[in-house]
Amino acid sequence: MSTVQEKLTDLLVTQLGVPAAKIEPGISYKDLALDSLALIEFTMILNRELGTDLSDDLLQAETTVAETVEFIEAQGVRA
Amino acid sequence: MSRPATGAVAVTGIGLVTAAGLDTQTSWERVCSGRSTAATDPELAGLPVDFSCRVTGFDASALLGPGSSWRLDRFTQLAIVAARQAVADAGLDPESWDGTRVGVIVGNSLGGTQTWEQQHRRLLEETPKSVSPLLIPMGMSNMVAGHLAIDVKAMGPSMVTATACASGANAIGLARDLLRSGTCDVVLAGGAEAALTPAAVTGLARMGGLSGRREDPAAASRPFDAARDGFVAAEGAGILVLERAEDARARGAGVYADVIGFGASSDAHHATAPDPSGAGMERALRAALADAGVGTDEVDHVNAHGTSTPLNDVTEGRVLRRVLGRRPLVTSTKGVTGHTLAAAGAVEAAFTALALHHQLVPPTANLTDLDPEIDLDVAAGAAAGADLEVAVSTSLGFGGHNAALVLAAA
Repeated sequence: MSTVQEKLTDLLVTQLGVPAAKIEPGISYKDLALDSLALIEFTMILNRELGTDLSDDLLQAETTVAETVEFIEAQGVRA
Repeated sequence: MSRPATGAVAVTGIGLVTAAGLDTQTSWERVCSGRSTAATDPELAGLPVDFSCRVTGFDASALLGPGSSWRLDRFTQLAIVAARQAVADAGLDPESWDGTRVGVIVGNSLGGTQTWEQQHRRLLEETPKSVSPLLIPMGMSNMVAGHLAIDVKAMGPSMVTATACASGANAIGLARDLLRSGTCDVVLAGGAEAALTPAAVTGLARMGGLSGRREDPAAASRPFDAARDGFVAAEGAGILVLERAEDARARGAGVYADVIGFGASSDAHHATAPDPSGAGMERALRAALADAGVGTDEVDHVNAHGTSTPLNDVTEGRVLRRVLGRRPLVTSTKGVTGHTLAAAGAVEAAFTALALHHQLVPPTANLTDLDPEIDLDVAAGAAAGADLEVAVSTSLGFGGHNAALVLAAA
């Protein structure tokens, strides 16, 4: 069974074209070159694919991948 | 011929992404073959008109990068790829040019119809929170010029001309003026359209503009033929690199042809039907020839608007016959490419430049029985070698927009 981190990484790569090699728990979205519109788009993708209900303004430029995993898991999602 | 010593602009680069090919050479060869690209289109399955001239094999992710392509509607994707081809073809380098002297003028009509239709469906079927924040930046018509400017670091004027099927020709005319006035040293000018989406194509069908030849799509686009019944919707992009003729020669650039004249007019008659007298088109054509300093008996070749609709082709045929004293060899490359709408004027200006460059007139696909109402010499069958000095490309758009370009062999 894949972890939330693995699922999130997969969505960043397949849906937004982020290079897989750049993705690690501590990296922020700013450092992944995702702007505010891309982050709303990513939030929509997460909600659709994982069944979460993350708000549009949750993910910010400084938010990290690890923090996002925590947000998702806090909603009871274990991928 | 009294070609003006100054004021001409050189076509130094051409980029084409059409149903006829993913680059200039492939598109030109297919157009010269006279084989139509129209085919049944799975994306239009179940609709009243279910065929088109679609660009196939276009891998946006591979060409533009997976991190960028998803943020761009298809009309912008096609335009960026065509623009990169054109700039490379011109031997120019966006990394080193003075971008403040570079302009971008692109024709587009319908914007990001794929984006609009997808997101509207989400709004209706899901919730407002399902609508992408990129709907507007992907769907806006002007974004094709904005993205091209970003891609090639062009910091001069950039904008979209929106004159329906004359958009691409108007873009080239406006670009020429920016070069003539000294505002820019290089302009990327052209057109892009990718509106082969269910609502857009059905809208065109409901207007009665499209061919209904579902049983034989490859025979549907047949400009000037007696059995024509409408145009075939197509997508594509054509971008030309234009520079002042003297600048291009001074830097030793290869020149396909020179744009030596431009004319535009409005029918002021009806929203979608051309003025049956052709008076508006005639004014545009005469203005372009006068601008070029070319006599009405000096035109060797015309790449006609030639949409394959009953009304356009007969009206256009009368105007060309009435204005052009000699009998130029006329073609409509829409027989092969279909009608790329706002891109058509640019795609066809590119084919006109290539005809002058190669001294070769592409045939009109599917022309087997010239409409007796049309008294023109229309190229049919095989591409014909010819002695070409001056050529004209005509474009007419819904709204009564008329445009004509005059090009001369380099």
